[in-house]
Amino acid sequence: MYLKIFNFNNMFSVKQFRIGLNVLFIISMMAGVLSCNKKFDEPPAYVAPNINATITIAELKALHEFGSYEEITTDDVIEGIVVANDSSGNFYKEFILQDATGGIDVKVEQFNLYTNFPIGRQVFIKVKGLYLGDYNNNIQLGGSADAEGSINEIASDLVDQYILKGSFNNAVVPEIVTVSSLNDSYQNKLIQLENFEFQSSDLSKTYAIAGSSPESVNFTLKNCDGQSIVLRNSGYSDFATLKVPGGNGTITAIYTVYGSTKQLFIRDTSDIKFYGERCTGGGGGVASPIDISALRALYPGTGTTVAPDDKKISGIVISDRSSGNLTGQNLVLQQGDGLSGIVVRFTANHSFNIGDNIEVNVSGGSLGEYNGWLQVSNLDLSSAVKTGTGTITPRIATTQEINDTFETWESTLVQINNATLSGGTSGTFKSTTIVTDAAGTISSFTSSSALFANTSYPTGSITFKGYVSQFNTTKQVSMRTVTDAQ
Amino acid sequence: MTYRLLSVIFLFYCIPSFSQQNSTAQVSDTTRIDSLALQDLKDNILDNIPTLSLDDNEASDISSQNVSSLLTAGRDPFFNAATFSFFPVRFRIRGYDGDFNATYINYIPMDNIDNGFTPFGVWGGLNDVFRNRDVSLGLRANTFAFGDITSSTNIDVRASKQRKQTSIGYAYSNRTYDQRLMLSYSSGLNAKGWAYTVAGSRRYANEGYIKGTYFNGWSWFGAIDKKLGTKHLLSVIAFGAPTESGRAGPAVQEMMDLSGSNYYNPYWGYQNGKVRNANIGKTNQPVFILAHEFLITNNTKLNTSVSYSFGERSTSGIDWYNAPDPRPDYYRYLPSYYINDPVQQQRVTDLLSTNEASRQINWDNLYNVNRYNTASVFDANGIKGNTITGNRSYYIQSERVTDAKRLNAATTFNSRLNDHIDYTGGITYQKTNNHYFQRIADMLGGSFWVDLNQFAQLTYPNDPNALQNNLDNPNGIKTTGDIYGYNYDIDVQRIAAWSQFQFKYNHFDFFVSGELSQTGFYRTGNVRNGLFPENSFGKAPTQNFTNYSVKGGVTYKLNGRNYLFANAAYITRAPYFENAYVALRTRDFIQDELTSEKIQTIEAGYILNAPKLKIHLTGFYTQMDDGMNVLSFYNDKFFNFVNYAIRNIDRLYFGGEFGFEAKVLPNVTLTGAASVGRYYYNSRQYSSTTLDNTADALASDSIYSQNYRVPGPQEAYNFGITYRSPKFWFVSLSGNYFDQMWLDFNPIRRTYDAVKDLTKGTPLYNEVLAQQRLDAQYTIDFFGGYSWKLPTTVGPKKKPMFLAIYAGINNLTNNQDIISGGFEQLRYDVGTANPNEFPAKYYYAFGLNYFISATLRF
Repeated sequence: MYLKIFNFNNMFSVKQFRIGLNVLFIISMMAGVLSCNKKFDEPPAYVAPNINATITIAELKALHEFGSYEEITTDDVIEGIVVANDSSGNFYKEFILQDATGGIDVKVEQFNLYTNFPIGRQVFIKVKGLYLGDYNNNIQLGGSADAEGSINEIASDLVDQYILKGSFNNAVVPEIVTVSSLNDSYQNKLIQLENFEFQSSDLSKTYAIAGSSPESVNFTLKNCDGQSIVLRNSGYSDFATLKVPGGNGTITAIYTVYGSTKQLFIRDTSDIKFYGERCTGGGGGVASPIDISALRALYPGTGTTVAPDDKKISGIVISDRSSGNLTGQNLVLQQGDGLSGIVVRFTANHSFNIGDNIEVNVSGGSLGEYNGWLQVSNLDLSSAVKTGTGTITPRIATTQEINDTFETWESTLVQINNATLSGGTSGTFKSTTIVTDAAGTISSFTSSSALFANTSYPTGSITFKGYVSQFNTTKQVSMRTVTDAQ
Repeated sequence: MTYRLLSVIFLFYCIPSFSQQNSTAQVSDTTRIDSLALQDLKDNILDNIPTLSLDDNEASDISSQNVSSLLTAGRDPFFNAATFSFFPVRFRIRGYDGDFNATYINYIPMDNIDNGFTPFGVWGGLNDVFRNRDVSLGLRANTFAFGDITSSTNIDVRASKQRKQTSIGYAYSNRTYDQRLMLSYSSGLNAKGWAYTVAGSRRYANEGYIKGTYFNGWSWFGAIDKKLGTKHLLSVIAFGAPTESGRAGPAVQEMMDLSGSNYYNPYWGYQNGKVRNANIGKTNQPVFILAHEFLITNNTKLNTSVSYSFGERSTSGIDWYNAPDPRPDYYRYLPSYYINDPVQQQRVTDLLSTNEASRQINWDNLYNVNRYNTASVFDANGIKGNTITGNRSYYIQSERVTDAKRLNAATTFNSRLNDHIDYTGGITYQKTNNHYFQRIADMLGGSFWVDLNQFAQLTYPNDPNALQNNLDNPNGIKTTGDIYGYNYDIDVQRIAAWSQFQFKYNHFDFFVSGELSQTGFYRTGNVRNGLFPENSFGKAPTQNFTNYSVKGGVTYKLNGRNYLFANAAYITRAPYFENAYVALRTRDFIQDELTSEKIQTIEAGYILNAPKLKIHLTGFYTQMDDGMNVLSFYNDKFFNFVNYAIRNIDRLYFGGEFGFEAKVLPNVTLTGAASVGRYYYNSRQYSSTTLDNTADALASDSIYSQNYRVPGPQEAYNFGITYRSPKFWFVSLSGNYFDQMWLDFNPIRRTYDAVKDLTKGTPLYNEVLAQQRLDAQYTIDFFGGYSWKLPTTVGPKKKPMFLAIYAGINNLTNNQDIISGGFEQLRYDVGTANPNEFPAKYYYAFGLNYFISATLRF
């Protein structure tokens, strides 16, 4: 009886089966008849509008009478390049548009304007119906004005009626000026001042006051000739909690006025390159040198510790930021031939090249291992300054010696003679290659984002150079460029 | 045990069992077949309805309840009206939530044990083979389960119980889908003891009733029965309904007025000139059942069934990272936001009222933002020095996925112990594993997405860990198909045993039943959240609840036509896990004082069951205590999700139900139904407020919720007339009226903080506290049908062939002002104390809509 259950031949009559099969067939046919999958084409590439400016930004601004406001009634178009936006939070619901004649503050009722108006983007504005006004003499373009003459942001849904977005990545070059030459024609232009610094009494302060009730902070910047200008930073900016840099150098900023006060706004902290000596000498005014070996000795062995205050390390950059084998925020610094080295990690991408001689104020940094590799991190770019160039001669060693003296030699340059390479990815440097010499082997790791990652490594006996690095328990020598293996 | 229950229970009941849908109806009984046809049509129409999310929390799958219809049942005039005619206003019987309905398939409980709702969509489009049902209303006894307090339905889908026939149907409609093809074939039980059924359907709409919506559904069904001797019947059943639909969303009245239509749908926009919906629901959760029926003796049978179901359901939406809000109805984009800027308010009004695209998602711009940026991510995927540079997607289309695995089993014993006593009992076991996560559905032109919590970044700018959704893969680089954001499992298990005795005597029938159950659930985090590294990853402690329920009833039979009955129940019910955890997405914290809900309910009534007149009159009184709820919404002032964990929710329901059916002329029947009740919250609730992105509880508040109304219509009336021609056609016209409809209220507006700065008694004070009552509404529905016995026959046995054509036209007067649901937005700014800053969102019921079907049966 039970066996019969599985005797499918006897289950149903042929006719019963035929009907069932027909039903199944028709069900599957319906697929072909009605099937319609929703697949969406991607929109075509963005096409910049075919439109030309009819007036300059300076001509537009000339329509404004200070202290009053105007609705623009002429069918005019201005064109400019975005030179500042809200990406760091220092500007709020506005972007700054500039052409050859001047700049203007465009107020828009939206957050995260940087996504649509990145720096360098060409923008056209059909100004008819928009309003011109000024906020304590700083000229603004917006969607309307209130009874007191304050300019309101252009309503979000109306933006596309007025503002046409154009090409990307146009050059944005600040104009180098002096404080005394600044006048209203520079309003909302990107300018650059040279040889400025924060006042020494401000050096312990942060850019602004963040937290639950953020506050903007005004600083007075001075140059060595005694000229001064106000820098204003928003408490909502993402750099509000960072310490201001102690050195002296150039500042790039949007020039604005508040009443009769000349006032600068930076886009982010990379606009402040105060890497040089202060007018009175000294990087941050107070930092004294410490040997890298002494700094390394402060590391307790686990966790992280705070780097010593008012200390600076110096040395020569032995890593290469352009080849991509190390993150752009990091560099490897060796104090000198035969001396110690360390990884320096900034809070943003740096611009120091291999061979630069630099000083790094480690105040406020933290000292700790990342996957076993010691670094001093959390440093603002302004804490480092280039003082010249130099070279480090690599220490010639066998793999055995490197393995044995590993922690001491970490982050210094070594050279392995008569080596052969193996491993990698299909004969390229990518991932881990094995360096073998008569004494033994050591690993060399190449990031997949290194420019030479997909280059085939040479076969046969070579000379191999690189800095000693560590990834957890793996002892490594890291290359800078392909010329390190030839 | 039985005697102890007897002493507790003082009310008993028995009633002639509800007219069960029977597939072997006699063709000659025209009344019967017409009402079956009407029933069929109504089932079909209810299959063609949108699913709605009933609260403010679009970002979470779990608390947006998809409300589906009840199954219609039999010829009871009240239940028929309640489940079908009152549907446009989302009427709920006795005001109870949908989770108080229980649905079984061959004795297996099919409700989701995560939220109590029946997943009707799982067998959507399979009406042909889901017809055999046994429905028990209210607190009555039934033969398949302890049941629930609104209704309990057991559907028998076994092949040998299907009517032996071939059916080919086509339907045309203007509702959620506009075309349906449905086929089924049942072999009937052959001489060798075999039977099988296959069925399938296709439901489709390129655009549904509401612009931007679409529907694309398949359904399949297969079942085989084998009868072994006279005592055993083995059944294998499998079915599924893979479905994809573009959804419609609730909206504020302002946008509806600007668009000139109450069917404004914020979920779609133009891409390349084509309509694209961002909010797409997908379901594919097939069910497999093994069933065994054992007729032990003529009076005793044992049914044992096991089911397994697996698969995903998901809802998509746009997610974004530090970019302008892409939702076209974001409050800052609307004219009302420019209240102090009349110039631009007018301009925005002009734009939105004349330019359709401006009211919808701007897909092209999302692509442009994603395609034309250059962004670098440092230490990507947690690898030091790994810098990824490219086009970062600031916008993605993201799916909120629930991947469920569900094992259910039931064994049910029915026995007639003697002429007076029937015994029914059983054991059920339910085990569910739900995996909840977010997944990238479309990169929208960008090349990578970074798995970061932008809200935490804003709250903790100096904590490099806080913004990580997954500390074990920091700065995770994600692309299409990758999981990101929240990622956790919930396991729930419930085991229950129940027993029921029914006693039948000449004038009195009575019954008692009881159930004992054990429920346990726990959360397992699959990612270590940067904000809650200690409480987000791994298995959290199991929450266990032991619950018991008892019910009983008595019926006094005056004679064969007049019955008086009374039933009562006391039920305790474990909280659903989604109401137990305060912020499931990020951590395993549970509500304070987690406790079971207690439900006391009684009903009593009169039934007249005469050939030409049927009357059903019931009164009920129900008190529910200690309910729990968790509400969650995004507040852009805090840049954060705010969670309100609410406890001590007590509810009182009382009212009456009335239905009649009178055959006033040989071919004319009048029907009527009324439900009049008052449903209140009758306790002061407590809420604990937490933010998704901070560990601290913000506030503990009393909610002054006493005597607020439970949302939904509290009065509904129906009156209809049907003419049945002896020539096999019928027409029916009915009218419905709804009143005392109340909108769900935002508990945050009923706290001390909400009104502390307002002067008591001022209009603003009253407005903040008042609950919105919706306007009374009416609808008129028409049904008609014709069943034609074709002059041809099929096969050598000359089987007759029937063509049935039915049409239902609902809302004949095209009333487009019927709010079918809605809610007050949870966001309320204590500072401005302006309840209209974030006004209520509504759904409107469809205007005139029709469903026409033609079916060939042989």
